[in-house]
Amino acid sequence: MRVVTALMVCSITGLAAAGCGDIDGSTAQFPGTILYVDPKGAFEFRLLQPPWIPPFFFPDIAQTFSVVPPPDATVTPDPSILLMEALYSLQFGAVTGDPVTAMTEVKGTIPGGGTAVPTGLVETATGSAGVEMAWQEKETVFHRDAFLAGPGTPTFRLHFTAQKEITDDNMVGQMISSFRAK
Amino acid sequence: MTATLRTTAFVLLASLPVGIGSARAQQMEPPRFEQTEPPRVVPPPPPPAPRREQPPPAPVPVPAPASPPTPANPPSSTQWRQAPAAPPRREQAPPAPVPPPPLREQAPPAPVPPPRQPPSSVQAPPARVQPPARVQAPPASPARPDADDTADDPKIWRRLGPRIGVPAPPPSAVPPPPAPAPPQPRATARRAPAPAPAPRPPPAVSPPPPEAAPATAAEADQTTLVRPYTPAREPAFEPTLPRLKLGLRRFDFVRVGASNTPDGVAAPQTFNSFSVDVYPVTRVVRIGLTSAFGWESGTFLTNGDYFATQTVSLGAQYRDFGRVVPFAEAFMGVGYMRRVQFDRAIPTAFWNFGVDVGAEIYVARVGYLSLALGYMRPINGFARRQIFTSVFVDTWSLKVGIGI
Repeated sequence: MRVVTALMVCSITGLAAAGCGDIDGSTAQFPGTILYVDPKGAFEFRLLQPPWIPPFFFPDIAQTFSVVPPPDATVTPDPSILLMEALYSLQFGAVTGDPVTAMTEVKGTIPGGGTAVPTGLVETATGSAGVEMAWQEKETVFHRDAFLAGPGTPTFRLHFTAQKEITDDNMVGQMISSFRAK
Repeated sequence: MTATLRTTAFVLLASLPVGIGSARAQQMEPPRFEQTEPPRVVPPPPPPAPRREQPPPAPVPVPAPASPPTPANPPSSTQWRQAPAAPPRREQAPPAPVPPPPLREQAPPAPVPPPRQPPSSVQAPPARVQPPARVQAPPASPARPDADDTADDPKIWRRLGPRIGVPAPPPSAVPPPPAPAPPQPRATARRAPAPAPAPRPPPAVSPPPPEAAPATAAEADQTTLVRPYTPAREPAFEPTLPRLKLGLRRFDFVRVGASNTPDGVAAPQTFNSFSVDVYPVTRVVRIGLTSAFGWESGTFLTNGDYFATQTVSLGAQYRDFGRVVPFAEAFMGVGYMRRVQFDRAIPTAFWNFGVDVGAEIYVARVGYLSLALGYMRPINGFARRQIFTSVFVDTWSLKVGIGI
């Protein structure tokens, strides 16, 4: 009886200390994620951090990166190695034209013309809208691109790369849905 | 010796009509019969005779002044046999050599007109009441007036003694119902519905409910005790209250960091959990310790989320419903949850609390199936950057189990 009583007291104390939870996952938007705001204020979006590392700007290519590194990632300042090893990666960049035009341009660069690339419309929770497409570059390299623009904003390209199929991945989809062009 | 006895019996039988006839010749009444036994002793009454309801004829002057009072009820056959008006054997000696006719031959149609017939003769066999050999009766002895109360035969006198008259009870005095006692044939026979109209109403006896319902056989003088068959009551099922249970719970949670809709609401995620519940205290109040392992529905350990928790429960149960033991318990538990996000295993914390309401359905005294509907709040806590945060949902759960 003493053990049982002690367990109960500890459980109650622990739960009382931890509380009953911070975010109601059934109603809140993007629960458990953090909001990333571009330093220049051009856009913002939400991501899970971890496993994502905080986005960073790579000046050589003038793009913002964020990756999900593998557990045995190499510690290096070379972004190409980071991108090559990453389980997931995301690159942000502004493109010209409206989302459809931008997607068509990118589609033309895909080997084979991208005729079999599935496309679709995208509407985010923050009011931005656009189109998206997904294709496979290599055996273990998959891409999913979203071209989004807000009212009176430039078009942004969200370029996801993963080592597996992510066409219908709802985690990637949540990140796209949380994007807001300013 | 045997021949002597036979002769004596024969003489006695032959002397019956002679003595009665002699008495009638002297305008003497046959011995009156009285109610000497309580009504419950009376066997089923004889068929009703129309003459019984007639008022008794005018009293015939009887020389015997000490005759007992006229019975209010007709005597029974038992009483009739106990009081044969037999003349002394000495007076029967002369006709003894003459073989008496059979009893049937001694019962011709009654020559005496009904008004002169005493009421008691209605109950008597005609052979005894109206003997034809009335003229053969010797003159009454001086002791004849007392013949109504005494037996003439010394043997009968020794055996039966003097007849004792007991005044009939007043008609309004209904004997009280006997106290509830072990059923006896007489008591139950009294309760039996009489096939023929009884001369007196049956006493108002309320039969004891479980032992009532006696039935009367076809013959009026034969009763049959019929008691309702009451099967032996089986002892109440007393289940052994739960001590161990293997359970399977299913509930919904959310997949943190994923959304199926553009509005950003988290995607649902269903968990199944297998639990081992031990109840170190199981009485009306029960305390349980539960070890559970849960996994994301559709994936076990391959590529989905899972958790392990240790839970304490406190509840109440009710064991007097036989094979169903309803219970309600509150539980709270803490544990570990592995989240797989973007192909990375993220260690997180998991705890939950809730309420289960259900029932243990016993298939044997020590084995049961369990079904419970719960309302619970699973909570997933994790690090967001360097800040610990948690996500919860309020959800229903269904738990099934089997236990001992």
